Amino acid sequence: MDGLNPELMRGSLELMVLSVLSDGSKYGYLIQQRLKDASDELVDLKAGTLYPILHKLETKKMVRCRWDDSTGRRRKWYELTAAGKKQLKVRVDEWQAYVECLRRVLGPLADPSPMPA
Amino acid sequence: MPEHEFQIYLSVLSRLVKLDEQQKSAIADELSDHLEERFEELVRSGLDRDEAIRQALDEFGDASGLAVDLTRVSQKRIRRIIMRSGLVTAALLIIGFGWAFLFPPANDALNSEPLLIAQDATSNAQTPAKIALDTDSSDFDEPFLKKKVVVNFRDTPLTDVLEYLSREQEVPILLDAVAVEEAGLLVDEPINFIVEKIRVDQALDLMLREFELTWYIENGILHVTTIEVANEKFLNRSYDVAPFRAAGIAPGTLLEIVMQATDALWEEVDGDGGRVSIVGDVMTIRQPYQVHRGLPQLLGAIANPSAPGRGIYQAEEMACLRELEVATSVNFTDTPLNDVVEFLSRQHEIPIFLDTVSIEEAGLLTDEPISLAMSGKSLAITLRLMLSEFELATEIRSGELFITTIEVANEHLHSVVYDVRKIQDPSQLFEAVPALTSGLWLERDGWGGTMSLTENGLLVVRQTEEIHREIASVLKTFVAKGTNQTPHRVRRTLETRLYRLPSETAEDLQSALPSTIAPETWRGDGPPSPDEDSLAVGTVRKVSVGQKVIELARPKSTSQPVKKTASGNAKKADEKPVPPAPPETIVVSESVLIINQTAAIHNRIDDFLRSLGLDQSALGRKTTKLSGGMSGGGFF
Repeated sequence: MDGLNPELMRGSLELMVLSVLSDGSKYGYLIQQRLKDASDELVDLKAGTLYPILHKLETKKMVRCRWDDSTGRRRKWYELTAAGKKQLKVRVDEWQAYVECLRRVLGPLADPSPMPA
Repeated sequence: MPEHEFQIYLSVLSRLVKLDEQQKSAIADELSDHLEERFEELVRSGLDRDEAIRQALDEFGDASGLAVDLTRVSQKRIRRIIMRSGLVTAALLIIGFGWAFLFPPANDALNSEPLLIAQDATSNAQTPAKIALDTDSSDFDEPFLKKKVVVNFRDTPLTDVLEYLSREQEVPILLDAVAVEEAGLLVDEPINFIVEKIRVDQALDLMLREFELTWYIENGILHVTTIEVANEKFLNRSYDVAPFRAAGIAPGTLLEIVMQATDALWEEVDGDGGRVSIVGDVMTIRQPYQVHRGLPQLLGAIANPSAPGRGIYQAEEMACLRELEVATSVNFTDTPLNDVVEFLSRQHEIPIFLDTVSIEEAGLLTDEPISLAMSGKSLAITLRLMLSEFELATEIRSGELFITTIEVANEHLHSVVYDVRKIQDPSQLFEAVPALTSGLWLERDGWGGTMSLTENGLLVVRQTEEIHREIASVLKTFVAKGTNQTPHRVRRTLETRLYRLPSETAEDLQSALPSTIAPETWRGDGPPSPDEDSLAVGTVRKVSVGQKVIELARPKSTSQPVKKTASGNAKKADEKPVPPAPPETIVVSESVLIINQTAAIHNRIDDFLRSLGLDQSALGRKTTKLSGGMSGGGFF
């Protein structure tokens, strides 16, 4: 398989971004790198995709941000809000239920055991 | 620091992002941090400076798509405020965001297009002549209809939208709840409609269309009902024929144009629909409101003999047409169609509207991914390249540039008036235009456009937008090259003559003529023979023109002729002095036979009709030959 199906991925991008923020605040570039590392480079979000997601989470009050000038450049840090943490939990549960459901529906098709000859 | 290159990218992006300065600068700071960090890492990994800059920017993706996304995220914030407010307070909140007036009716803008408003043909009056005569015409000219408003409705119930409109425009509005509910709709269907700067009438058209609803005004009350119900609501509107007569246009031509130039149904032609009749100097048209709306503009364009021949678009539509020719620059990678539309609409500052209903019916999504990088081409060409892959097309409708399916665009015909006075024998256009353009034509293909030529040298064509574009360019060459360059493909010159007759006679003749006079020269209802040498070219059609007072066919005669059909009581008139006598009139149902034939056959038809003893005045009125020097010049 060559990369992930972007159609499949689209629905989970917000979830992935929220999850990366669960262990502490990060700025955009760092979030991008963390997603890349954690997914063995399968998830390589373009900035053009990432920033609209971050801004959307911000308007939905799932993340809050603060500016930091200490590195010499103005840098925008994102962290989860209480609502964001709650949302992350809900979305993880949803995702698990979905995977379970899909596994049951697909049955042997999704089973890694070898196909009969 | 490669700040320069990044700053260029960011300033392009900033220009495209439609947010306030503070938001823009925050976005620029954040993205600049990202670009620089990425650049440093790429340099650390061994790339040279230029290569690192290029790659950092490449990875970022296209600025236009990002700008659209970032703008949209912030706009959603505004929309959400309205949604959260709930149904009860929605109407109140919308006042803040909703129909704010930008400026009063743009009458001046309209009048500046010489073709848009009829000029009195007999005088040089500066003010446009009023062609429509009826006293209740204010229903058609309500000033609020032309006001420009900002519309921002998001999931707002229809009833609230109308209530708001009613209060704001001070017009009573009646929602036909019975018809709406019979059509399976709710009176509080959610309306989603967000447009900057749109005329009230156009906003109504577009908002209601999605639900197959429409509107009309009667006695100052704006009714909102289903299209079906509104189509049965016939209203009379009368027009002064004098300006047309002064422009040299025969009543028959006028009737032909009125009947061909709209979507309207006509009782005699279609079995059901409106009627039109000319009595004296007054033409009365009986049609639903929406049919009447477009007519004054069309008729005005025809009556105006100095028409420059550009069509009868409204000011907003002219703006769209002009903007389509403006060069644009796009760089989309898998950008959803609706975002592309929003981006182009903002960039060109014209309303562009996605015909979501038709698009979704065709099995497409409004967020189909668009990928196109191009610059320097006109908006029209750019859109065509982008849309053709999805079988989508653009058309101008209700003052908006619409993106719809090719199928829908091809069904939507509208009339444009072309000035062909510079073409020596414009009747040749009846063959040349269909031959040199790719449209369908009613006459030839059984469905499609129609053409009429007026005596004052105007060609009225009803076609799709796409074909109008082709026609305009064909006509341009003809006009530019003058008389010698008429296409050699035209072998026989067809002439249209109109014969106004009692309906019964017309019906008999319609079937008798093709079998009696040179049967080999008629082609019936089918398509024309592909053989260019075929003689079968003639057609005969009949249209009803309603009831007619017979004496008016001979306005010149001083004494009242006694009609043979009026024999019984007409003699009584002898006892009274002739002048003050009320005109003895009889009213008969009349039709016009429209015969397309070569001049030679026309003359034989005229002889034949005379031999039947038909009134001389009913005979062949030429409509496609111009009077005076122009047609005379054709012999040289």
